[in-house]
Amino acid sequence: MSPELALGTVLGLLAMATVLGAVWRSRQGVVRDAEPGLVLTPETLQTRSDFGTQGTLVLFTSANCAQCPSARRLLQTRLSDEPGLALVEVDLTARTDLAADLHILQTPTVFVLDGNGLVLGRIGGVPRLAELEGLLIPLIERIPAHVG
Amino acid sequence: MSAETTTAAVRIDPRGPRFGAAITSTLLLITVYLGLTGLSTSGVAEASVAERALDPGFLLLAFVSLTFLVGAVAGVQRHPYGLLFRALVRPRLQPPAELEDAAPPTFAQFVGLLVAGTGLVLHLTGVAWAIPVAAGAAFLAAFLNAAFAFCLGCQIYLLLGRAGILRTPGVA
Repeated sequence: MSPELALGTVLGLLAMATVLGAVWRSRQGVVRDAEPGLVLTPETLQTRSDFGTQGTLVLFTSANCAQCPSARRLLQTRLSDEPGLALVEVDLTARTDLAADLHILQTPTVFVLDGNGLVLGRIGGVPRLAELEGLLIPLIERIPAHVG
Repeated sequence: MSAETTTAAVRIDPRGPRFGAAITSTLLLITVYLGLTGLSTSGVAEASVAERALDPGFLLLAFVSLTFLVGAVAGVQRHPYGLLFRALVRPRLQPPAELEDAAPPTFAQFVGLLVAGTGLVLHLTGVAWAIPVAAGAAFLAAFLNAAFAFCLGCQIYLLLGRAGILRTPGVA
């Protein structure tokens, strides 16, 4: 191959990688619609953790996931003063069947569930706070003002 | 793989692997160029094994594979570029906001070794285009890591599972 054509190919590869990266990053942390009517329970997720009475955030993680710890910290911090909301973590490392069933292609992935386990939306990558708030608002508004 | 996550994790500055990925992606882009202009795209099948092994693209990809090997086996915290980062770059930076587990970037080194190593073997056996294609694929991952904080371990594990390669039995 001529040096000119090779150089053009290399620059094309660099441009393609840059576009790919920009598109990938623009989709990280934003809310996507879940499959309509999808309901999750502690049984389907095989977790011993309890779901929240008003809503649940399910954090899917895996081995070799560099961004999962920061997603966990972000969700823990956000839910620390929301007693009706629970954070449930599911490690997909040995559960690729579940990942396939739920069409999860990356970790961290967060599913936001209402009090009945209905999936309201999903976020791939570390959630952006504003995106997460949009999903939490209807859940928080439903929490009764009194307790007991 | 689960043993890595259960043993006490080595914590590293997350900027270290990205610094290394910047060097690696530069070398891989040069490898693609050398591969395209070298033996790989013009008569590798007719060349002798010695000629294939002395091709500049092959030699540079072999060097990059060697750094992947060190990272994958010794752990990314002992990677030569990581040592360079700690000696030259980190003293000039603010302390990191948070440390991260060394296992994910070490896993990425392993994947890089697999891709680049496949290219080397195919080239030695006379397969055309093996060097630029393998170097291009490895470049993509390294560049996205350096420029966009793309994490291979976050993406590839579940993709492999999706493809049925790692599918584990389901219990409903």
